[in-house]
Amino acid sequence: MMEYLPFFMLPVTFGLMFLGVQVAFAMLLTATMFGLITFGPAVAHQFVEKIDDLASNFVFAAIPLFVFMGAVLEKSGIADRLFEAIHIWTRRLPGGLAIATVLMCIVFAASSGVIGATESVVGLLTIPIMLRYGYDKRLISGVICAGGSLGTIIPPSVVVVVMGPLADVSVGDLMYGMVFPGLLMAGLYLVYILVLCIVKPEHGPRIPREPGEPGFAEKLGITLRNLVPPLLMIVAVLGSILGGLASPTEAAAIGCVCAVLLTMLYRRFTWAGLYDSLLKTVRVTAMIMAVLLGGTLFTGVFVGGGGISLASTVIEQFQLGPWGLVFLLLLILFIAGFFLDWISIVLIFLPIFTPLVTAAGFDPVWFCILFLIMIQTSYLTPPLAPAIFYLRAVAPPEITMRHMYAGMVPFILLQVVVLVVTMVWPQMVTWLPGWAMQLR
Amino acid sequence: QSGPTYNWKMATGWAGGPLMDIGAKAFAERMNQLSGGRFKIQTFPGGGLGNALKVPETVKNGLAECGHTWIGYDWGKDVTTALFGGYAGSFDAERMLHWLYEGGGVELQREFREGADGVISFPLFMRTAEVFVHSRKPVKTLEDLKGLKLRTAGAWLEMSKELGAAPVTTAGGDIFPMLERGAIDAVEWGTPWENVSSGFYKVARYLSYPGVHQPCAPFELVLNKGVWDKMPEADRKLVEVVAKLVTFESWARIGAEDAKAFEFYKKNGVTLIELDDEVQFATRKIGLDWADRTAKEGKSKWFAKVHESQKAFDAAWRDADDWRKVKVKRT
Amino acid sequence: MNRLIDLAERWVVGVGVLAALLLVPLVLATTWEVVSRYALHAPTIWAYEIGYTLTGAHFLLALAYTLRQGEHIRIDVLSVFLSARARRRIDTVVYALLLPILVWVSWTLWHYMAEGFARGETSGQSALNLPVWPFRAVFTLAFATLALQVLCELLKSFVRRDTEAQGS
Ligand code: NA
Ligand code: NA
Repeated sequence: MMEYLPFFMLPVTFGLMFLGVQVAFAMLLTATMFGLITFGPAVAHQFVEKIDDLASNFVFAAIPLFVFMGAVLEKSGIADRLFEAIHIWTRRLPGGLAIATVLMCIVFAASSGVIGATESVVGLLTIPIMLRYGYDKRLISGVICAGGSLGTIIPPSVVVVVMGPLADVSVGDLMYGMVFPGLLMAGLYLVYILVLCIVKPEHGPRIPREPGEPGFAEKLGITLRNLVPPLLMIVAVLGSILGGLASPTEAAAIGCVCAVLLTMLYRRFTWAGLYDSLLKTVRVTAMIMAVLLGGTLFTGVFVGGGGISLASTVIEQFQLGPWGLVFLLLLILFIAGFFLDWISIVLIFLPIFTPLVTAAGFDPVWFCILFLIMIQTSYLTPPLAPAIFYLRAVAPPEITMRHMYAGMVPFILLQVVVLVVTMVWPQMVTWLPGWAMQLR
Repeated sequence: QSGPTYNWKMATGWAGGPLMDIGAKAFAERMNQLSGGRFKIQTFPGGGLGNALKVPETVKNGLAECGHTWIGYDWGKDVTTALFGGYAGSFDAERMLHWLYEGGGVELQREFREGADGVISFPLFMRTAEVFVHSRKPVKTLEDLKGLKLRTAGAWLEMSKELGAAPVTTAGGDIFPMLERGAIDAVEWGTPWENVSSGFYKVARYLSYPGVHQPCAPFELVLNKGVWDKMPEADRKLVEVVAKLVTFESWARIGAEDAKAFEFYKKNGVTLIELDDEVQFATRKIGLDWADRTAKEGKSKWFAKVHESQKAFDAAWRDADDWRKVKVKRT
Repeated sequence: MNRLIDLAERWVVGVGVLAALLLVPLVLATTWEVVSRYALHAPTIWAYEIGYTLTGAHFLLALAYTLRQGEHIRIDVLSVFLSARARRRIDTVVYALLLPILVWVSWTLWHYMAEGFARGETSGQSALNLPVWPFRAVFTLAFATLALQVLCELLKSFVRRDTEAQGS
């Protein structure tokens, strides 16, 4: 009985969450309860070690920095101008704004390694505008969440940095390996939006030609004024990473400086606005990090209670063939993704799964990418759907949780498509690392 | 075999790789084998039970009965740990093994750790010289080191400055993208074998050796004192003997695997560079000068004692390579 | 009672504002490191440790403030079907359970700090090698403040019930 103890943590924490208890507190309560059984009073020391650990990780600086960048852009009205500028060109396309949003997400994803950061920027930037143009609230939610979570499957990515050593594969191979699946995922999002809005135009209405619409030269002028400076900012962020000036974390700080400079350039800078942006940032960041903290405390107790070895014993008892094994493992990940955050999923399952898969004759890098795609799915699946939490933090109240859950479904299906494609054609993963090796 | 049975948790600082496989896990397996199954030790990845860099705390607080770590992580707590964990002024791995097991090192380490941190400590696992750097530009001479943006951490950060390098500390997760895109020129990490899986060779064309900043690195087994005190003498002896056995086994294995790793790097087009003598001599001198200074400062009451012991042993072994190693002409 | 709660919450908000302001030095220090490394070829020895310290302090110190603003995420898919009273009861029970846990964690953090102070322990993370106790003092402050806010929420749920009872 005692050995199955860690497995009971899941329904308990899940039940608390559904009763409406704050996610972070639900996990803290569960961790304390089971931790006292597993470790006795020493569990307080475990919490202390984990708090120190999480608080000392500089990579997480990217979260407040990107959130702040978005908040400044939004507060100063630059977001509005930016999207107006894009909209001049995309208004003729069905779902043009949603398409522009995903494109924006891809650009931000390539300059940030965490989910949440990307999402907050783009969400703050585009939700008000899509609402104003009468977009379907489910589509808005889906686009922001799915697009925003591209941050960890388009390199750079904090997730694979954690995964690499746990699976004993090269982080570099993973970073190259994820490029095509990541781009495929983004591409499918774009195609889906376009097709949906052609078939059902009410989801993303085209704006009809208006009488006083500016001519081409005038449009170009507006674009240059409104679009180019923010784009320069994004180039500064991306360019400083790609050009070897800065790490992804540092690039986020450069982005903050650029954002504030831009508000000055547009003469929209106020101290009050800056102060508001700072307060908004710290609340969003504390909310995100509280969930992460709760998750690591939960995981510590789960792992300490023997959850890992229990799970691997159970899997070995099934005696499956190679592909059966892969399917089972992915199914477990899919289900775990409902309840757990990515750090817990990676910490708990990757060390169990990789040896099993390698022993079955598969390429561990390929399996890690499948794992990564399942993590993308976990961002969108309730109850523990980080993407939705971040969206909740930046979305106006008229977008309800129901809109959000409904909006996730098509994008989850698209992720499954990417998963299947990657399973059928492992070259998606293996080709680029091989090519990069020859290039060097 | 008769005697009590043990169900232990072992906290480690490792995600996986050789430190886990032929260090922590090997210890668990050997303990099980040689006790006739009385010791069941379950290993946990770094950050699983507590903080990956604070394994001795995890063990002392009773979250795990034992743990596997690198003692040098604790140099902020007590700088003496640098001497036990290896630093730029250390012996090579062979001398270190002799000092530990025949020159009083094990006893000193045990006494120090029990007094200072309240845990029982033995050497467990031994690294050979590390890779000096994986670098985007060739590093061979002192001149090459001038202004080299080198990602490193810990005590070596200050010492590498004296060599003229421009050391950078970054989050672990940022290292790979920074090296790939040239925000930093070079990184120092583990041994040649361990670095195959890190993949740094894929984005940095040059590999310089030997790791003069870390000529060897003994790792550490820590045990909870309460647990230790309750064990019968025979089982304590067993732990001690198995830790020693695994240390020698790991050392032998790494030697064999390092040779394969060099072949691997060659095949993958990595340019392998042996550091000039002047760099090797300079680095060792910087390390020893640092140790002399630190001993004089007297911040830690243990440092001078351990440093003196190592210096005396080193002096006695100064010419050992002449009588222990036969000169071979390379063809 | 209400005045005591107000006073306590003013403290919580103050700590939250301080946390928010920490982002400014974080941005400046991190940007300076890039300039210094790239343009001046002289990476700083302090940016990394200052950076992660500020990051950690930034979110930890704001945990209580975020609770006060009601912005810690909840999953309100099923709980919307519960009555407002039932939801308040659940909150009261949860806060009553959380309070001793948080006091306990704060107490342990306090000892963690005291231990680091007594030994003169430093971080060992970089050449800057900061003493560990100030950062650990931040941990203690953050969790004690969170415990205080949880206490406020708990008291508010009773005070509110009283006023409701009087009103009806
Ligand atoms: Na990314
Ligand atoms: Na989920």
